[in-house]
Amino acid sequence: MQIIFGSYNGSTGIDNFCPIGFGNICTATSEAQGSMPCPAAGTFNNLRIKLSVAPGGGTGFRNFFLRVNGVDSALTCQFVNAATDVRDTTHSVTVARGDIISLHDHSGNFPAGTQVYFTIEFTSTSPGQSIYGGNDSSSSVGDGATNSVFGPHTWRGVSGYQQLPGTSDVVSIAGRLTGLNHTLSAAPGTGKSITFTVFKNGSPTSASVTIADTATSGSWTGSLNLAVGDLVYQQITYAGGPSGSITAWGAQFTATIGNQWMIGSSNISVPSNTAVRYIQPNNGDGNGGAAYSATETFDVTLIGPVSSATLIGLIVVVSGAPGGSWQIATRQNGATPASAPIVTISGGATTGSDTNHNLALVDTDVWTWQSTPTGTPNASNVSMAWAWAGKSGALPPPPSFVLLPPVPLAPQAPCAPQAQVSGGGKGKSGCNPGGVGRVSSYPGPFGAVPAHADPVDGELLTGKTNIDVWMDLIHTDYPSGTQTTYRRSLVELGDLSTYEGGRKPAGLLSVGSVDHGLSNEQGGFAAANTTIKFGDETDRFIRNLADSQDLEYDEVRIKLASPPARLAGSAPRVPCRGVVQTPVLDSPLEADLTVVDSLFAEFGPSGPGRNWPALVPPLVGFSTPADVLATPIPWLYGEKSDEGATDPTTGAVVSKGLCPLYWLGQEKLTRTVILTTPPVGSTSAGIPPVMDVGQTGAPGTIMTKLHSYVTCVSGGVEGPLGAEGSNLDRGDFGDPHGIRVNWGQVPGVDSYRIYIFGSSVNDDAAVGFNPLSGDGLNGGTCRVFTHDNVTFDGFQAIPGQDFYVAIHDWTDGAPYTGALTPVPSLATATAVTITEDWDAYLVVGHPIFRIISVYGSDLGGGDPAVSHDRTKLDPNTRADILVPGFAAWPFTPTYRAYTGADGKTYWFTVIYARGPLSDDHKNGVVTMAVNAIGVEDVGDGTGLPLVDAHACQQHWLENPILGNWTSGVWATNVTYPQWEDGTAKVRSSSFATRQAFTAGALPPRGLTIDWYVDTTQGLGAWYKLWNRSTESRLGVNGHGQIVIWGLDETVDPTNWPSLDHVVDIFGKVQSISGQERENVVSGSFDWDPDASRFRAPAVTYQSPAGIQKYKGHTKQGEALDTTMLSNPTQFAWVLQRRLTRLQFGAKQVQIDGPIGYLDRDVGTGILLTTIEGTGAVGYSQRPFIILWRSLNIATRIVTYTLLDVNALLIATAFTNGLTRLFTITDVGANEPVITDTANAEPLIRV
Amino acid sequence: MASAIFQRYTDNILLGVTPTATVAPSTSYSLATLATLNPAARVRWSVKTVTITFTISSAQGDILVIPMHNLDPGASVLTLTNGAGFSHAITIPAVQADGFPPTLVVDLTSFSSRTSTVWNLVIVSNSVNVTFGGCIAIYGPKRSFLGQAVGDNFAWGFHESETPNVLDVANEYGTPYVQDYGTVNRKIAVDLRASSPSGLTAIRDWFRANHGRARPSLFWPDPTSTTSGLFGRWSNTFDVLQQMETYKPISLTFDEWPKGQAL
Repeated sequence: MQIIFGSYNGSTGIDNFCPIGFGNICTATSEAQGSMPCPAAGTFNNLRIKLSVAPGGGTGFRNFFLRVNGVDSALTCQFVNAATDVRDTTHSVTVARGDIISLHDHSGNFPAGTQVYFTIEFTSTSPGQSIYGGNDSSSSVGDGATNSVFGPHTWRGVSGYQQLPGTSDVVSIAGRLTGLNHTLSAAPGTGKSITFTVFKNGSPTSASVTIADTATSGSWTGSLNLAVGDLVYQQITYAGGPSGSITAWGAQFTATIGNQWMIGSSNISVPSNTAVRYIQPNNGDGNGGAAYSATETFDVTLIGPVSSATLIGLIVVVSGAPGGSWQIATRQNGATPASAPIVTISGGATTGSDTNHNLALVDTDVWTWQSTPTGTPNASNVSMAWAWAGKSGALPPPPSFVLLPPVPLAPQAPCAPQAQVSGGGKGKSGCNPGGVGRVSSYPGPFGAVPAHADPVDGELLTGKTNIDVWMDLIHTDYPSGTQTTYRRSLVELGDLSTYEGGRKPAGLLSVGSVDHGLSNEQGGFAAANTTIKFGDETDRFIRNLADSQDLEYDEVRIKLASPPARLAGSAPRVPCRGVVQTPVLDSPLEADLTVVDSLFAEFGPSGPGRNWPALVPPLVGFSTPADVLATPIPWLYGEKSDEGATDPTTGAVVSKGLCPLYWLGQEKLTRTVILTTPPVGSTSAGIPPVMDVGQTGAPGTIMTKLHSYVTCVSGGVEGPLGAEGSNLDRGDFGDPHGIRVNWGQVPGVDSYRIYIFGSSVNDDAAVGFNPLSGDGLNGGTCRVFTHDNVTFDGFQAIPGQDFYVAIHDWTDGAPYTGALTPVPSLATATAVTITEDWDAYLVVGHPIFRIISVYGSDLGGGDPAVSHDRTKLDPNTRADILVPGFAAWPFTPTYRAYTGADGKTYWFTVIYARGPLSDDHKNGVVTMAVNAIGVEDVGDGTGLPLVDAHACQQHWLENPILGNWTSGVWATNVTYPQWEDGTAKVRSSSFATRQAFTAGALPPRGLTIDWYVDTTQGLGAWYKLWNRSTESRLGVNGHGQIVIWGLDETVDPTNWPSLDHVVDIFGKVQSISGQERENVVSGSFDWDPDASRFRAPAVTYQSPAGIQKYKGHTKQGEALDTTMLSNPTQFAWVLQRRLTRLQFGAKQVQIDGPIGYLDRDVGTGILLTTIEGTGAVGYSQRPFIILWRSLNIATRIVTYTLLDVNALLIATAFTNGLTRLFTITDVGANEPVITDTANAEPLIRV
Repeated sequence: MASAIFQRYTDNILLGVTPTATVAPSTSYSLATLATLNPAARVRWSVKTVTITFTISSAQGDILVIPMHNLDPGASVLTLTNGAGFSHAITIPAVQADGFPPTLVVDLTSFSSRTSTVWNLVIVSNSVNVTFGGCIAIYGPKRSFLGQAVGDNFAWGFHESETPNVLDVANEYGTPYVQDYGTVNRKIAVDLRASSPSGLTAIRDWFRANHGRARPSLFWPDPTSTTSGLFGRWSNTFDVLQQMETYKPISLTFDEWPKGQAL
């Protein structure tokens, strides 16, 4: 509801007309000159007229009417005799936009000098609209003339005369110009036109009205955003030489806060710089009243309205710095109250405002404007504008609330309705491509993986001349599951029953070669395998078993021991552990068993056609779209995040999330809420929905600390909604402050109760405010609203929320007397189950440490014309997402356990979303993504994160790979993958050792990874990625354990065991040089799985020496594009070490030797002396690493494949070995380093 | 030279019989192994005193054979008894230099009461826990070349050979690499001259009764030596030269069944 104020002096005839919007002609005898087009539809009422002089005794009368389209309306104030103050609070008049309105002053007697004051109230049909306007037919109307839009001015006819702010309006409240109406007393004429254009801050806008040809009126409807302090005026443009005409206009303004309006004016000069001055608040020109007046006389004042109103702010603008100061004060009844808005502009300032004081106006008041100079401010060629912000009446109900653009209830056309046949894809982030780099969100501490005891190596075989061989076959019976160990030997071994199962009958005919070793440079990886031949003629051992049982995946161990060791009970050596695949029965009565490492068996994770990770499984209760079912289950180690990423050009922080989400389908989330008995004494009878019961404070108290709490009521009992309602714009309504509350629908409940808690004490009083528990009620009072569960309010200040209430006036209604405390305890409360539909989005296929942040569509800010971009979402304040670890997550664990169609249980990390945000994802408009920290060390989300590369590698092998993990806590020191004899399948010590080595080079933690798995492939490809990304090699050792090995160039080989050709080699010595040569290495890192691209540019290093030695040829291996590494220092370390190791190619030597070779496992070093080596005398104590080992059981000969590390170890590569002192100077990014050692080969980055 | 003793596979009166014992063998070992006729197999006890009993249909036992055992040499440990009152201590020969016991072969025909349904091996106070190879046999009736010589005239001798199983390679420096498998193969090659059809038939029937090489039996070329008996098998082929002379030359190769590794 808007209060329109007016005042004019004098009348010239019986009938005078005044435009309600108050133009300068208020005493026109012509209605055409004293009316205006109404710019908005609405209702007028509460007309009050006050006269400074009564019409007179006897028959004197003076009647005032609201006149609409030439007809006096019922809204009237009529004076007789001595009456000077009349109100019509009975009648109201409805007008349409474009109606010609005026105040008709029909006088039987009009004493000279009578000042007429009036107020009238206007309530627009569309909430929030207020009207302004005027009428002027002065001679200055013409081409280029300008005038104000909201304030009463005359047209100023000189083109270019615009003087800001003196000929304009200063905007005092936020809102939009939404309509213009103009009328002419005469048409421009055929081929001619008159255009009125609104200027904002000196620039033309789209708000304009053109009246052409024979028309006499025109209008504009649109939206011109206006902020507080904007300067606005309108300008006439003639085209074709139209005739001069009387012009009238009306301007429609839609306030951001719907019950606010403006009143103000301007003047092309400033008040006295030496004395106090007064002027009519909305008549800066002084027309119809006094200009700046030295006294606070009746003709510079306005009267109060019938309904109460409040002046809530004042803004003043001058065109030049005053030097001294002017204080502009709001006067009320001849004084300046302490609560009155006052603005002081001083020194170099040209504008000032006061929004901290509120002045209530009632109809007994007289108020005006006062200036007080100090320090002789500059008054030469300086103009001034001013305006108050006023408010009156209740805040209009939504949806006409327009400060915040409405968020569309559906995504941009043409994607609605959602078809839900697709997961929406990934990487769709609109105009937010993200930045580069990151800032870690987690400083530690970090988790660890289990450390298992290394197995006993068994009998040392060096020098032994009698070695017995036997086999353990651990058969698992079908269907009982009972395990039985069968033992067979080449010749019966009649051992004590306490030794290795006792008797070992003969039956083995032969055992093939047992091979195992480290993977090759390309990740090629083969584990231990052999073939066992049985003689089945004696007891039909295999044939009897195979008759009803499957031998596949039965475990086999080959064991070696000398008779003395057997007699002594010493542990045998176990050169092969594997599982049976492909048993073959062969004549005559023989049987062959192929034994391979479980990792590589047909049934193992590295078996033929086996890929990891598995695809997203169909889940019971979900209708997952096909494209998501074709997606690998994502897996995450480390922190995959772009938090803190910056635009490389602007430096601005631009994060978008790196881990995409996959829509699993819709899930009904059933929650149990505790409903308690509602407080008594609350009722909505007879009270408007948004003005239910109660107040937030005693009358006159200003509530500035407001909080809300929403509950739901079901079956007559009340309980928490699940989260505090969303408080919006707390305090935006001015004093007393208001609050808006949004919340989402809870299906099945009857209604909601909204508690508004207000305190004038402090914020802390309401922290944790909860009316159900009585918490946080100190220092304030509460009021209660009810809201049904049917009527969606259609205004979603927060997307996905369905209901909305807004209140601002705390003096309505009776005080709430219901008891807020005590309320029933939870022990006596009633549990009620509620069910909601949410879209479930898969983050990763396992519990994780933390979701750092969530990104999703900004919905175009609610503007259907604006493209949607990805933005950061706050799960703590939004009601359309549920994110583990954030406030609204409804479950205790941070993961969800789902049942697959395959009967397995899957522990997934998911988030839930709904509404337009989720629709945008599913429609592929803007997909959601998260930043997260992946696997933690417990397995249920409660542990610490794993980030160390080789700890993650061990975890990966033991859980998803060997453990076939889909649910449950991670493997522990009890449950880790083991062979049947308890030997760990993963040699944890080797991973710990390698991590410790990298920590020496890359302190403090060594190599770390952030590995998001988003593709599925065979394990060979993954081993290759691990090997290349971590500059190490996976392999299988003599115990059948997976081990990790990497070159430690700092090791001292002096004490490595020596092998001398004379006594230790019994076969050929074969050497191959130049293998796997790479004198140039390159690669990319910092993988963005959401965008499927590397975030960092490719890096290349080359070895000049390596190229020169290779006859000038460059040889570049496969690019090391790693999705595991994101740290540039670590990636450079990996590349440089690779180049150093391979710049001249690898040299491998193969030798055969006695069974004592089994005493040295793969990945360990030996010193070799042989005349077959290079150089004048061959190799002499040359260091090698054992890469591969093969045992021929028939011949008892072991073959080594050795890597020559002579040139790679510091101890042997340099003259002074490990005692060498050297210097290295890096002289430039692209220049070789300078060293004092000729054989220190430089590497350069190109 | 005394007349050689030979026994058919089917002469073993304990054939196919799983004995009982006063003490069960150790875990993972079985008395049934004794019926496998595989001296390389083992039956171990965790005691030094045990009686092993074979219960059979009534039969006469003339020759006791135990190829592999760890009984103390001498006559104080092993006694053979039966249900007919037979009870005689058995003398165990000294262990060979390679650690193997000589195959124990005892001619019982000098004793009476050799026909019974129950035969017992009574081992008392062996110095170590008792172990047998997978074969204990009692043959009857005794067959000898001399027995076949009635009206005939065998002229014969034999060639004995013994080969340990060893892996032996040498590198270019001549350094040997030796792996000793701990087992031994023995064999006896015999050239017989049968002067009558009955003699030829007796040898041929021995071969046939043993299914050639398929079934083990006993060949005791010199019964005057308690260490010369072989529990083993014929070669694959029975070879006799039929010529129009009085004497029929027969080539016979008998391989000892390997005893496995020494105990």
